[in-house]
This record gives sequence, C-alpha cells and structure tokens, in this order.
Amino acid sequence: MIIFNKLFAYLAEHDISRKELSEKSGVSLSIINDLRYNRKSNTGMIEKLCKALNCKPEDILEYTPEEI
Amino acid sequence: MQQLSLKAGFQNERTLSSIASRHQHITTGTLSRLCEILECKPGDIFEFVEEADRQKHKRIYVREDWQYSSDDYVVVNWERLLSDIKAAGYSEAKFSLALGKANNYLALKKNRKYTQKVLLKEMTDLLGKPFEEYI
Repeated sequence: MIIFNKLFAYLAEHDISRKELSEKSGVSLSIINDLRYNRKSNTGMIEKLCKALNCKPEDILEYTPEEI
Repeated sequence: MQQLSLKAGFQNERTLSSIASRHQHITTGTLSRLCEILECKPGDIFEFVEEADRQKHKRIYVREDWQYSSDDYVVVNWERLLSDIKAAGYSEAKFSLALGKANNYLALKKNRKYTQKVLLKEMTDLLGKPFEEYI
C-alpha cells in the first residue's frame, strides 16, 4: 500500500497548510485530506504535489506491505 | 515485461507499457503492486523530473537506470520450505522476525508465485540448507 504519512510530516516541517498546498497544486482540499486515509490516487496527482512542494515522490509517500 | 506483468497480476502488458511509454499515469495501487513484487521503494522505480529538465514528456518517469531481470526470481516449493521451517522450531511469525522482517512477512510471501532468489537464500541460510532444494 502506498501511504502519504510523509506528506503530512513534510507539510508540518515546512509550515505549509493543506489549504495552501491545495491552492498551489490544484489538488482539491478534500482529496488532500483523504490522503490521510490512504485514499488511492495516481501519479498525476503525485506529480502536482511534487511540483507544488518542489520535492521528490519519496519525500511525500512510501510503500508499506499490506497486513493480512 | 510480459513476465513482470504476470507476476504483478496485471491482465496484460498494457499497464507496464503505459509506464514505459511515459505518457500515462498509473494508480498508487499499481505502484504499490510493483513495489511489492520488486521489493523496492517507489523512489527506486520512479522519479519526478522538473519541467526544465524534460523536453517532450510531462509525466513522472520510470528511472532509466532501473533494470528488471527475471533470473532474480524463482518458484519456491513453499510446502517443503514451510515444513522445514516448522521442523526447525519456528512459527511463521518467529521465522519472519529471525529474518529481520515484520512478523507477517512470511505469510505475505508464501502466497506469491514468484520469490526473489536472494530472499530464498536468506531463508535457507537460516535453516542451514542449500536453497536449490526448494526450487
């Protein structure tokens, strides 16, 4: 499963609000909020977030094996 | 690519072809599946290329230095391996922990048709047996 915990840590570390990220990236606030619950997304949205934050994909997401 | 598609459970090569062609987005579900099969991190197979650095393509790239070799994977005789793990006094969870993995690691791996050869060798080394016995 791809999880986005690092995204929210990144936002906190850089003092960026989710609303600011939404405005800068063009990704809706509700979708960003849903990422907390590991909502499935795609590389297009990851690209928008990376572009807005000027970071690499691995700075905001990680893979973790799913538990049975 | 066909073999990797089969291992990843994709119905055809279209998904991987889409990635390779660098013109299509893929879902995080697909990305997750690739990371699972290849036992790698997203950053090992994907990178974000800044606008200024890319000329024609506008998507996240598959790393050009990434290579896949089907020789790295084997079909494991899990029945025999699990039997020997049990005979050595390990539960699946304890054996996973002995490998330095999460306690559900073996439970996840045993359901996969293909296993990394290097992982099989780690497991058989722990049992003190040659890995060829389990292929």
